[in-house]
Amino acid sequence: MEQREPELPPAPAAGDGAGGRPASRGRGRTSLTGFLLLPALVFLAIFFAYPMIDIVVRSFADPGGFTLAHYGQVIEHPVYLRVFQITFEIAFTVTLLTLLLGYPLAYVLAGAGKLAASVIMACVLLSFFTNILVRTYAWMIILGPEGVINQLLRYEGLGDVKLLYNRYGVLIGMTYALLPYMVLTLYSVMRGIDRRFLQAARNLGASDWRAFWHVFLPLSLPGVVGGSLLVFILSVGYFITPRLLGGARDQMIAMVIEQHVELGVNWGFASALAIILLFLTTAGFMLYDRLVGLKALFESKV
Amino acid sequence: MSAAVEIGYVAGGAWKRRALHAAAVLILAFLLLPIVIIILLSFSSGLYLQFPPPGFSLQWYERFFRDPQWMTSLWLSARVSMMCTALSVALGVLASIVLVRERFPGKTAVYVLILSPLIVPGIIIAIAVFFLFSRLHMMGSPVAMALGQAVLTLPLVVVIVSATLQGFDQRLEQAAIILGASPTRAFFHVTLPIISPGVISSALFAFLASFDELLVPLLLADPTTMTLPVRIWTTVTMQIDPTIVAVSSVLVAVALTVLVSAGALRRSRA
Amino acid sequence: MAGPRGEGVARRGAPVRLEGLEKAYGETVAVRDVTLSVAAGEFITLLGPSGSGKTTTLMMIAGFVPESAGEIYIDDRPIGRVPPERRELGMVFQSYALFPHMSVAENISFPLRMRGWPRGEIRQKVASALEMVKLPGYEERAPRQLSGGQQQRVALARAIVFEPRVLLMDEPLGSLDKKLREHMQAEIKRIQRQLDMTVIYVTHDQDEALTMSDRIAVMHHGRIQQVGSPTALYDEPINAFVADFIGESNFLGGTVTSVDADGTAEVRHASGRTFRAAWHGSVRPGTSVVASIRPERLTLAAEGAADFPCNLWQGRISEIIFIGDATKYKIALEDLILTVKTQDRDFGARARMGDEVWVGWSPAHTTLLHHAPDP
Repeated sequence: MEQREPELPPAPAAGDGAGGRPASRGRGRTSLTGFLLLPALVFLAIFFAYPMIDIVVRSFADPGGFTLAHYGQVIEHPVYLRVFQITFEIAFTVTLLTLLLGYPLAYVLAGAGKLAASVIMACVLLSFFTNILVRTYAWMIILGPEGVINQLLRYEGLGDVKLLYNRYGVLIGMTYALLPYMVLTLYSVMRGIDRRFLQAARNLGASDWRAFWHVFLPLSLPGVVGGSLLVFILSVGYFITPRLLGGARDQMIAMVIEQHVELGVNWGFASALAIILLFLTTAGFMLYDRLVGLKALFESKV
Repeated sequence: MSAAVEIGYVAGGAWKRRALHAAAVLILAFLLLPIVIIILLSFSSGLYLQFPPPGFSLQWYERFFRDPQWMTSLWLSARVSMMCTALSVALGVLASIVLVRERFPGKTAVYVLILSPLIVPGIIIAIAVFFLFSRLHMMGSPVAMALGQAVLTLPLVVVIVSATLQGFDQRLEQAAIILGASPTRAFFHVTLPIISPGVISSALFAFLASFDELLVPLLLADPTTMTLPVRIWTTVTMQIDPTIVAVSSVLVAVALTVLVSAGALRRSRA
Repeated sequence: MAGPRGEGVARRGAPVRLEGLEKAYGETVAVRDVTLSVAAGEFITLLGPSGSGKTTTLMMIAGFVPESAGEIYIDDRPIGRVPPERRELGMVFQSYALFPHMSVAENISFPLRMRGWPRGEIRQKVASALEMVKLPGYEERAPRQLSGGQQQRVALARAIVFEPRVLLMDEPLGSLDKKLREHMQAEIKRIQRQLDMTVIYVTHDQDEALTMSDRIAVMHHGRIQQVGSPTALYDEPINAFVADFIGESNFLGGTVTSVDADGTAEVRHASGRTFRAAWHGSVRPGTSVVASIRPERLTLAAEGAADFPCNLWQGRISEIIFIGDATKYKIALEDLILTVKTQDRDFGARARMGDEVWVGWSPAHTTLLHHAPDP
């Protein structure tokens, strides 16, 4: 059966303008549809674009006018540099942990039969969509000095462990929170790996371990890179989990920003920090787009 | 499960496969256990968060539903989320129509603007919105919260509705037009009914996202207007009140409802 | 405007006129200088391969594609500024485009509802439309419950229920199997005659065009190559493209050496052989020409015979292809291959691959093509 002719344009009377003559209200239709976009654009301009620009402005402003003092503070005070360092440390570790846990789960999910796959996917999605506050609070209950783990340990006579209000708590909580992102990213890549590649490898003499190592793993690398980058970027901006589960030595950037805004004192400095954070995450996402492609990310959110 | 899991390892060592399955089960348990523990504890008859719970009781739920402050917060959350959902779905559906069908200069820039709230860290959007509304002296206003949250849910709606529209066969609209319907009537009689599952899906997820949102309403709150997540936050950070566990379970139930509904919608379309 | 059926009879169908229609997408020109007059009640087909511009032309008539240049007249009124929903054209799409969320009755009544018809009348009209497409009683069915052929008929019913004077059809039978397609072709013709509509039909299937049309407009690269009745196009193609697209053709190139009073011209082929062709006063000696001969106009004989038509060449059978109601033979001469189509089973019983045969044909069936196919 012959294909439809490729010349058919996608939209009815798509205002191409290049043709010249506006037949059947072609040009009128374009401006009408332009109207449809306007409300969303106006809304975002007022409540997103303008406020963001406002932050940039504030970061360079103090009562005296233009200043770089806010940014200067970040460099001058080792405290803030330390915060950045901690943030990256945590983000890096969380990325590693989610990769370690997420890879086997995604692997099993990708190869599972219909029923098993639905069950696993349902669990991952439930975790993904449940309120982050709830998921973090759950760890407070589990890790706390009177928490589930300590209760069980005491029952067995095994003494206490301190897993809350320290780095352990933050790492566990954030790994837990971001694991679904890693699993979903890895899964979407693994799902596309044609299992015939592996059959071919086995047929050509590779053991199952070598088929995995030489064929599957390399093919899953885009997912590894994508998932890791995604988790890292998201971790850098995290607030709720480290705030609830961490201690004095686990301050992340977002927490410092929030403190300064809440205390109402140095909004300019908070803005500068925010811009730096924004810069880092945007750079991260641009790298993500270069390596993997942002389009896939948005589509997979659905 | 043995026939089910087949990718990659074609009958390697059986122990390898079983180890992998065991690992997967453990990780899955890791994903579920915290939520399960919360739900279990919410039915506890004990006076504090004792694990395992001594008995079954609805006391925490009673406390939650009888407490005027919690109920105010619940009601506020519902109102704010409904406003936010209505706004973002209305704006998002209209925007999606244009983005999917029209070609125009600057389209990429528009896409970037609309989708960027998804990649900007939540804290930054929250403080941006905070600065704006504090200048407008609208602190504590539910409308302000709805507007701030809509910034976050609008891209969500656009992504979901765009995907739905892309799967929509435009020839159906052309057929309606040639049969005598103006483009607007064609949209309402033909396009909208057919894409409505996708639109409803987007509304469900937008509602969930805004209902769960903490940072925006946190910064915009005043002591009398705290949404549910904000009240949980202040309670958690200041005191130990096991009622939170019941509230948390309610939130899990909301998420579950949205997921199940969205899943049912997707199946009804097919 | 007189229709093919008779002079001066008032027709229900509206005449359609295209003048200088053009459509360009940036650098690419999809439709170029299309001028066509369709008489009231005529069934005309736009025939051509993919990308020939036939669907784009139809879409311009429907109003979904704004024309880059040119005018469209329906009933002598220009409709360039009329939006598609007010052009009062019936249209059937290749994919049927039935609204999946409406029942058959709701689909068919859609145009009537858009026009604000009263409910009682709508119900009657829908019923009679279903009768006309031979699907009585199907009002409450859902489109997905119907077979392909039934869906197509519902689409047709929906397109004609408001009694348009012009019906546009865009390859409506493309996804149906052969028997069903032939049946639907007859149904469409019957309905067209009954409602006396002008029909503009688009297809790439030349058999379909030949069967159904009063006239065919062959399109290629955005231009109309030739317009005419099926017979005219078949017997007197204007260029090699038309000759090859409609039916099959053997092409012989050469130079005209002489022209005779009996209305034939002698042409010298590149191989040195000569043949005679029908001459209509359009070429002079010395001109390069291409001649087209239909395979069924060639005759085969095991040896030359005196009562053979005048052109007679010798070659070997290089291929025998049985196609059911006829057999095709590829005859190889040193430098070319001629395709012969014959229903002569006796010959077939004796013919073998490699046999030497004589191929003969009459100058009357040798058409000189006087236009090169447009680029």
